[in-house]
Amino acid sequence: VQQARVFTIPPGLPFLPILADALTGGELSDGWPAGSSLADSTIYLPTRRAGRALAHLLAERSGRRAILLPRILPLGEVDEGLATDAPSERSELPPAIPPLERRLILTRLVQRWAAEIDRDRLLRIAPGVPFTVPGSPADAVALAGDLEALMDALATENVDWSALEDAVEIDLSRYFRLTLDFVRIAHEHWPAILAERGASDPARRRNAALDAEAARIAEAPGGLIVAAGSTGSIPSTARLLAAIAGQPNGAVVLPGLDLDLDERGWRAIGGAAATSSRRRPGDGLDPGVYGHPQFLLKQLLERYLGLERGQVRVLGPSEKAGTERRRLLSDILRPADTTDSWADTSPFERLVLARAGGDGIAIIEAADEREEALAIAVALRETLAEPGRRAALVTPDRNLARRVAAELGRWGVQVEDTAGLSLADSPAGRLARLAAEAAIDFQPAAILALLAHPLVTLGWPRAQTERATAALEIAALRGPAPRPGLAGLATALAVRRDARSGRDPLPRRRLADEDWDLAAELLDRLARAFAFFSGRELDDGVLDLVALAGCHGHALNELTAPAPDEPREPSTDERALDALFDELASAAVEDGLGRSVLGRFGEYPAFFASLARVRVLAPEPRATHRRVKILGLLEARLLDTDRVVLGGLDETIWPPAAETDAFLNRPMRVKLGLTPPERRIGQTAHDFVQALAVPDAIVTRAQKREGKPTVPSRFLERMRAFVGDAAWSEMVARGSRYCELGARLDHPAPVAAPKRPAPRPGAARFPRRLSVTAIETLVRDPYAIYARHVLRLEPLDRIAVPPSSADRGTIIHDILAGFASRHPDILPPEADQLLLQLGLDAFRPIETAYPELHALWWPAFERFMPVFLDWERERRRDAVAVHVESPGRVEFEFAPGETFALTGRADRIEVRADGRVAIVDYKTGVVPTNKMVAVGFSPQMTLQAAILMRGGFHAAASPDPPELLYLKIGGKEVATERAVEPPKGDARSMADIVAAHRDGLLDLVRQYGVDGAGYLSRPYPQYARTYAPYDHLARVKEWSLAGDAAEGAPL
Amino acid sequence: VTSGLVVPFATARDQRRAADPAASAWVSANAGSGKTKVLTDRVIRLLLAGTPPSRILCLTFTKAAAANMTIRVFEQLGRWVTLDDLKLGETLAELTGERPAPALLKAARRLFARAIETPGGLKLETIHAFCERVLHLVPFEANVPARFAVLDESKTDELLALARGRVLIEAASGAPGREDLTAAMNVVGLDASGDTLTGLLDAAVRHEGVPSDPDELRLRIARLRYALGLAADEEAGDIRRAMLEDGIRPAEWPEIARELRRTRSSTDAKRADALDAAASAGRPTRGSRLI
Repeated sequence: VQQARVFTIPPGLPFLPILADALTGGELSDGWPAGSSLADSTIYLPTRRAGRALAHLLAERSGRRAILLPRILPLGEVDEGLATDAPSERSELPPAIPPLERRLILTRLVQRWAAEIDRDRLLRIAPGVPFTVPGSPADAVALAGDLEALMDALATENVDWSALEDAVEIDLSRYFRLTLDFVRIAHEHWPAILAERGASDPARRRNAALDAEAARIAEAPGGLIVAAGSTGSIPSTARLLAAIAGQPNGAVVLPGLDLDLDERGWRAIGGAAATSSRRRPGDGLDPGVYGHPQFLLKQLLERYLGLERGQVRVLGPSEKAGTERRRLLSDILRPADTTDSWADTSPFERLVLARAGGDGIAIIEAADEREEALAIAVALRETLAEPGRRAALVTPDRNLARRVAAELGRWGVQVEDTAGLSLADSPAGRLARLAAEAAIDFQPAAILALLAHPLVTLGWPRAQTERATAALEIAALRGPAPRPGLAGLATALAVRRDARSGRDPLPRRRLADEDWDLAAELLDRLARAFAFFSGRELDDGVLDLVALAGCHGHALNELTAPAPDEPREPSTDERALDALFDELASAAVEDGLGRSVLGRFGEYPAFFASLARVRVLAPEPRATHRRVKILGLLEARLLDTDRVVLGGLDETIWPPAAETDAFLNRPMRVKLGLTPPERRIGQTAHDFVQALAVPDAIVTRAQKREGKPTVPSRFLERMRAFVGDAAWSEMVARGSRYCELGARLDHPAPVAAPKRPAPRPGAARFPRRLSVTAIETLVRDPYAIYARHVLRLEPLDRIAVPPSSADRGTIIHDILAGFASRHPDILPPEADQLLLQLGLDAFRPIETAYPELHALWWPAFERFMPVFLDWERERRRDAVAVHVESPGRVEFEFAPGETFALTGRADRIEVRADGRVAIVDYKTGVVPTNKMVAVGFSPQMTLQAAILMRGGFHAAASPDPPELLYLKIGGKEVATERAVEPPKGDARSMADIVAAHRDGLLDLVRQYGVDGAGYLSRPYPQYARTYAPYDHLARVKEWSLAGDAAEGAPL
Repeated sequence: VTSGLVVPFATARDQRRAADPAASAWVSANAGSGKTKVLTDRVIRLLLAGTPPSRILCLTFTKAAAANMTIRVFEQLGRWVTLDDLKLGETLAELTGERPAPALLKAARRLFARAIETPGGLKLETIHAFCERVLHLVPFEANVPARFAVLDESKTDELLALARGRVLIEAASGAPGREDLTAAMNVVGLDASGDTLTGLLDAAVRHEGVPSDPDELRLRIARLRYALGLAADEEAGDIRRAMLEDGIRPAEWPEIARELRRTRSSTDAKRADALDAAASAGRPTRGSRLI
């Protein structure tokens, strides 16, 4: 009997180049069949990508001669779930149902199941309690995905659904009834749906295709047939490999079969434990056997190929390169039941092996994922310093991959993650999600997020869209929230445009007419884009979410419409998004009654995201670096590189968490003959060995991820226990170099703390007109006046701010002003009715837009009204006239030919019966103390008095100092009157203080307007407001820490 | 255990007793006195006695403690793997108090790899993580969304604010059936509004202990009164009266006023007037109940 030709290429060696050499050198065929050429052979490789790489290598080896390449076919091997590369065209079964259609139909079935579930028999929840297992359409999609995984697992292992009912233990049957009822979707409804559509189940079809392939090979031997790189993880693939190995012209090349492990260890993988008597119910089959890196290969060899390990021949260079590393890795990962043999090796021998095998391994134990990514980037970048050297990061953690790609940007090294990007996270996918989120109720923040996306053009050049967005933002989105919806926004825009005034925020006052036009046009275009895709229009009731996707797609087309004269080619992700919408449009999801996936509009964004998330975009070859790669585990399987970085060696990442699904527990899976989730761990362990066998290897982990402490990967724990502290710390020391280099990169050069700013724009720039409140600011924080009046900077309002206590103050001021101005001389008997009506009117906008604020503010106002009316009647007893909101202005010459205008608006000016005048200020905030007034930090009232005494108020004039009065509104007392008087210990009269402030103001104006004094930031920190809008600009935090002291004096 | 630190014999013995898996134990001890060591030892002794690692559940309160425990268990078991028979024998004797049989030495060496390969991981976790895991495993039976995620802090705040707003609206609207809410709002609104009120509501929600059972409520109030040192019938008016009268008695106030007038200072004169007015005024009325 001719010996089967089964080969292996040891880990750490370049798999595909060695395979190419063996193909051209004839080692695989042993010269059979005589005279056959490479062009007649057929070669199966795990993926299309590997196929392309092999074709490239073979062409290289042919030199300049043109050659006919062999037939290279993909086996379609994947981690989990379904192959996209499967050789499906070779099946006799009807075409497989498209994946999206399958997911959507199952989603619909899940929804129907939940709606029609027999509550009395299956659910133990009280009547009226909603059944929330699919809590939303997105949940139903996820459940459908889980169900698909179970269907595929059963199909892959060729297990019948009926076995499921039998697997449920009697004592647990009550508990699992619900689950069994659920999976009935898959085995009762699903086959009928497939039959009706003339489609087949993808996993079963793949099995059939592989089996058909195996049969054909057995019947019609042609040229050389080679299967290389597969571990035979799917039974059908394993059968195909066996069929190839059984042919006289067949050869199988295994990746990294462990020939170093001793016999006892080898026997303990899989076989020994499977017959072990130590099994207990509930503990399942000893799961460690599945977690061994060689489990799949051993199973393939023994169960399918019927070979001993010794019969496998080694391909590749015969020199000893890498043998110690392979021996070390083999021993570290030996089956748990044989780890007692570690102690049989003497500590010295172990240290020798650890040093020899561990030479070239560096271990990075970073504090967190950020440090890990930076250290990896440094390690990759280091390779680039040497011409021609290549480096690869291998990691199952796509987040880490993204971080590393970003860190490499420091050196302008652009690397795309070869494992691909989820459509949901691609630019086009993000745009689609933003549009769906915005469409729910067009909140200002959501609209801005959408418009900020660079793909939004709305038929304009992007620059024009950006200008329109800025105009809309300043005109309507900042400040108090407009009424919801695009229509509300359009109204707000029109109203604000009509009501433009000098009291508008400065940024809005700067908008030109064309800006307002642009903003309006932008809203029009948005309204057109969202005409059929708006949560406001479609809010009530249940919608067909699949059909809604059509409207979503239409909206996106409008949003991304290019300018007429700038046509644009769609990018890869945009094409993928279009493809998703096309498939959604053509997917036949409805059942006989026309029911599809149902949900409310607000649930659509999550539903869409759950579909977009499972689509993975292939990276663009152009975007990947020639010498640096970032790979997932699958892509790294036939790796060929000079330096490898293994990233994310923490439990639940590498290896992944071996979670069972929500349907079957571990014992039930075993009973059904399904492999336990630990099989994935075995696969990642094999990936670990394959990658770490590269001579120059760096392993990284992080002690914390997302702020949570992690547990190191079991592979590292094993290594550490085996090699001992000495060898381990040597490897860690080699790794810490990269962290140190990374830390040095991020260590900033020392920066001198800035000095307190005191800009001197020159006397001419001093404003020639300021209000009494601005003077108060000039005293307390001159820099703010510089920023506001010289630089003309004004803070933008926040986006869609809810009304603040300042707005409440404005409302109350308006009510009181309206009240007094209607009856300037005598209060009518129905004054309380009048005040109530004014209050109701003024608070109405709050009541409609912010009922929860109204609930707090209105009762307080109701308590305030009677107290205020008492006060008002008391005041009116000897008031001749009352003037509200009186504007005042005086001018004085502070230098020859230079005048300065002081302005001020008095809340209320009363002319008393005795001819005296009183100025009243309503305060809903803090009332300044008499001391603060007297020393000049709060000169608002005294300066108003000065204006009055110089005849600056039209309402009233008096050469004598007026009575100055605060009415404090709010607090426990509701309303309190406080006269402004000289404080204790100040011998001056009010007239003296007013005069002093008037003179002080003149001095101040001369300081800035004549001498050109510097506008100091916060000269008296203790009297400045705790937060002021210009503090950041003045870098207050920086210089105040440096301890710059105060100087000067107030008015 | 830090090397060089000598653990007193009695402590070592107590720790061993508490770590004996055959005994139920309650351990209360100071920080740094070895509670985690006892717990780790207990897990290890369970493993040593042949318990499958997947059948051990060990709950802690913080994520850091859970990760730390797992790492410690692995570290200790990892050290055993390569110890020679003599040293491993000593270590096991120290742990269990018994000389180990030769077969146990081999088993002990295998524990490390077996423990790190526990299906689904060694279950040393926080209570929250445990509950979350159970719910994820049986969503159908628990009636929870199949792939639920726990709310983060900002989302929680957002939802709380929404709920708070709804309650306030309900209170203000005086909706029929919610008169109690409106009444409560009118009382609270006098003392608190704005941020104070929302803070108060949040505190009430967080301490779900505001009881609806009137007896329970009376009991809680009695406890609060006790904590404040209030006598059974003491009320706000009593406190106010005590503040005024229990110092200088009202009968003496006119006398003090006379003294003050003799200083001829206008401020003192004002004070004297106030004192006279207070003395001639009636006794303060008994105010509302304090709590």
